[in-house]
Amino acid sequence: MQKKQNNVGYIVLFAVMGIAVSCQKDIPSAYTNTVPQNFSQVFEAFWNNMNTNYVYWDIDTTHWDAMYRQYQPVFAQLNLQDPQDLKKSIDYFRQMTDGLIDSHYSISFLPKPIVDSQVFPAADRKKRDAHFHSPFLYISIDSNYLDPGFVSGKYTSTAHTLVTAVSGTIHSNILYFYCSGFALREAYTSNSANGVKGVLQHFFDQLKNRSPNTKGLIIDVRSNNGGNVEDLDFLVGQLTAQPIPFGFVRYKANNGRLAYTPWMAVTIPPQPGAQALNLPVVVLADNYSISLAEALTMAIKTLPNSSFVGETTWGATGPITANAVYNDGPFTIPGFLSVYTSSAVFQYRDGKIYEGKGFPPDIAIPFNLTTLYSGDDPSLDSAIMLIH
Amino acid sequence: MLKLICLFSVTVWLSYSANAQWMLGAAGGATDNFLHTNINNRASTRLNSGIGFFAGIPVQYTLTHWLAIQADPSVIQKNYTLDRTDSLSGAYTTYKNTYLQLPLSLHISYGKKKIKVFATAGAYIAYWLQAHLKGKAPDIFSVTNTSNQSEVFQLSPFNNQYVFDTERDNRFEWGWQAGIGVQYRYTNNRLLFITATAYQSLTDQQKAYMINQVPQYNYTCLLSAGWLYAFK
Repeated sequence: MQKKQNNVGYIVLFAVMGIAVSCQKDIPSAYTNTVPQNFSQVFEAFWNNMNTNYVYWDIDTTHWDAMYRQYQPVFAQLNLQDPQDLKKSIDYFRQMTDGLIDSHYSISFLPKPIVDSQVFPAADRKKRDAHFHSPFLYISIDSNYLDPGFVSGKYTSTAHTLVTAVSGTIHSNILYFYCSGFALREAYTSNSANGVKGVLQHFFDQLKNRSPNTKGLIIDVRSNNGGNVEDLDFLVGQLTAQPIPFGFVRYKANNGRLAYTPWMAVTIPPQPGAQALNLPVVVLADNYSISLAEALTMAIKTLPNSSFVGETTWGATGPITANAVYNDGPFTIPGFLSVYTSSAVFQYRDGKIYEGKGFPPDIAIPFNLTTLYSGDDPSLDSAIMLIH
Repeated sequence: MLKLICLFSVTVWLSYSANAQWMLGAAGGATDNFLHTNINNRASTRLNSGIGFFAGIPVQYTLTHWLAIQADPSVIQKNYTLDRTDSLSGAYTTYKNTYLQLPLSLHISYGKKKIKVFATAGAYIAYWLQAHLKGKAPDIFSVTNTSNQSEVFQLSPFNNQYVFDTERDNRFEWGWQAGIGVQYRYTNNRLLFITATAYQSLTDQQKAYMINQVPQYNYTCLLSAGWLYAFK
């Protein structure tokens, strides 16, 4: 009798264990990046990649699930071989992404009929703003402010961006540095001779061997659309003897839309041989100062006795690198599109996220084309006044 | 199946009154938890199990000399690590998740008087009490480009309490459990045991907050040892 009881017990036990094991589920991948065969697959790949790779979901007002419900049937009606449908799809992508706060965000297309098209929500929003202006070559005016002997040079980066840099003085007692983009360290460490290397050497020498009469420093990143992140440490690290607590970053932690890493502190280390500046520093930026130009503006503002003159910046503050580094940020749907988007959320040291808003100046100087064409640069005038 | 359950219930009932006995004790051990999910889309990433601790207060109600019902109110860790590989080797995130857990199981034993082997099967509920994240991540602002234009990152350490998100995190978990073990009754009312138990969650660690969600289930192996005291 006892043996029979035990046997029944074990049968029940193993039945329960069997049910438990059979409950193991196969879990599908968040997405697979294969060449889509129809528009339904294009949509699924785009929606899922965005769901996983976009870093601002917790603060963005775009309701991504609602986009799925609205546009999944719309894309299913399109024919991937029809050029007219390809063009229609751009409008749908534009509508889906119109409200995204990531101001780096853009979509480029690969099929021939739409290869010249681009979706760039932040640029569309800026164009609708009456006060927004296109990039302006301030240095063409500002070179008249510089004392004789200033140096300028150019460098074409490995990313095929032409960077112009200028170093000089104003009134013999204000140091001035301008760059149109960031590939400065790349130029400086390049084995080939280039103009920017000479400009940087001039600027670093001026910093190191400045006269006691030097009153201040102006760094001009107006109409600078950013570039290599390494330039932040390379340039700002020349102005400090102590590490600068700059802000915080976080990344996506896994495939969940709201899965984030903790906030991690960002510090700008001093460059070898750098000394504390102990001078007033004014950074000039405008509404076309983008990405690293904004980061540099914010970093300069952490220095003692610093000011920001100009206009609120573009609002693209999240740094970008290859998707494989954080498994987030930019991605490609093979044969159809590529998306350029932030790899990290950046929070400035004041606890605010300026993505989509832009970093505001201490002294706002509205853009005035007439005044600039007359040879006067009101922002530079204001910076000089601040230092004097 | 119904026939089987009826037969089982009758045999339990027949011998119930003669053998009923309460036992209470303490147990401790180590867990090895696997997160069952899909990370195939994530580059240079490996999901590894994590070792944790277990502490419980087993309560057993003996129905017959071979059958008991057991509850193990316990604190249990269900940890795991996401390791980066290839050029990002050295970067990782360890999730240390602590749960309050209440398993309820049937405990069937077999053997001579002093030494018995036993098996357990049942279900559990758990509450995700707290979590901690520790690791190293590439610092995007520390990047330097090498002469061949590849990017090199310094790793930035972090060690933070996990902040629960009411929209994202599902803090209630339930699932199956099954185990085997050996017990040694060294006096009439005292016994020692060691047991290996597997807990498989049937609930996603995340709430259903988005379309095409990739679920995450805990699968925990426990090796524990303990002591029980009989009150009868």
